[in-house]
Amino acid sequence: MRQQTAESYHKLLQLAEQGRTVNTLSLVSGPPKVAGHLGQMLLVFPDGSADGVIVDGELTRAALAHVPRPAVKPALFAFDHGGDTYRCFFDIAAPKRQAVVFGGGHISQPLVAILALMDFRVTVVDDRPDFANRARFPQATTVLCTAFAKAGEQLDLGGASAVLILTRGHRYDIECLKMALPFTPRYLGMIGSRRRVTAIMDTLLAEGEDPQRLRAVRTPVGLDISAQTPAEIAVSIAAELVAAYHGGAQYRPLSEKVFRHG
Amino acid sequence: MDDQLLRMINQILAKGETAALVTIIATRGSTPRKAGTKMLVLPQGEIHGTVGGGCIEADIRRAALQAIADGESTTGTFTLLGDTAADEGMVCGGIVEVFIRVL
Repeated sequence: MRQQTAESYHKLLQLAEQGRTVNTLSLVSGPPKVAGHLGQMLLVFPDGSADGVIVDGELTRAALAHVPRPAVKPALFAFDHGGDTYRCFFDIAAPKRQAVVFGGGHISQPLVAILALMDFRVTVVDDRPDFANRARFPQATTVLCTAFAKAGEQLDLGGASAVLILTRGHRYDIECLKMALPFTPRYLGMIGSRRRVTAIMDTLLAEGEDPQRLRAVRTPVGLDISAQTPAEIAVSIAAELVAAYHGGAQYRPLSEKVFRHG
Repeated sequence: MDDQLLRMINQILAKGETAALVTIIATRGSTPRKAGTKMLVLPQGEIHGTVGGGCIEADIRRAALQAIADGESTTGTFTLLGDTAADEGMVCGGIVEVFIRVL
């Protein structure tokens, strides 16, 4: 049992390091005869195949057959087998969410720290060695010192990624935006004044960029909380990102949501 | 699961040491953390990760230490409805069920 557990966790770690999604199915309760088997775990792959054994082949198959569909969130479920009731926990082990921050300036610093706290794997890109270095971004998973236009060749910005464009200039912002748009990341934000972002959007529309894809860009980035300092602006960006990831578009104080005073 | 937690579990297992991995498997009502949330409890009582903090976490930690002592994985149900919870300012008003996996 212990050997089996060790092997399962070893595989889970290897898969996590490869950024792969693998779900698990664990026996959490059952009749006294399986007391020694509690905690036995299957690795369940996206294609539906499974690795491991819960008690025996028959119970393993029964457990897998009872996983609630669609299997997209952690779920506890019970099923009967051979006159006994068993309960299993289906757990989702999605790889860490990724955020890519273009620009290593003064807002990126607190933003990277906040994103890391929120358990994102953060990549920072800047073309200046003085800005793209680990000393400036100790919490980043990766710091790339490369031309912005080149970064797209090394990065996957799709899927559940967040892309934040905070470069020092309008020219670089356009480069990064053009690179990121085809990936349709989960969250795509670009900083800038009203004038700067309007000019960028107009340029891209004139170049024939898809208007619908451009509408998905959150620019100027962040929620309107009257943020002033770099750290405050980073909070405003992070707050918008949280809402985007959890499917919410209702930015309002909880106090307003809970209490409706006349 | 958090990569860091996964790494710690692997280290513990590789060294032949023991610990308890607590996973929230079900919640009812309002609870601070949702199903799938994990916390690792070491035999000395040290914890990594959080299942919500406060008194409920202390209760769960105690149960995890007991499970380590017994050497048996188990489930447990903990409530945030009690007077203690209210006294502690934790009035989420929910119930969590956890699976305590003894490693």
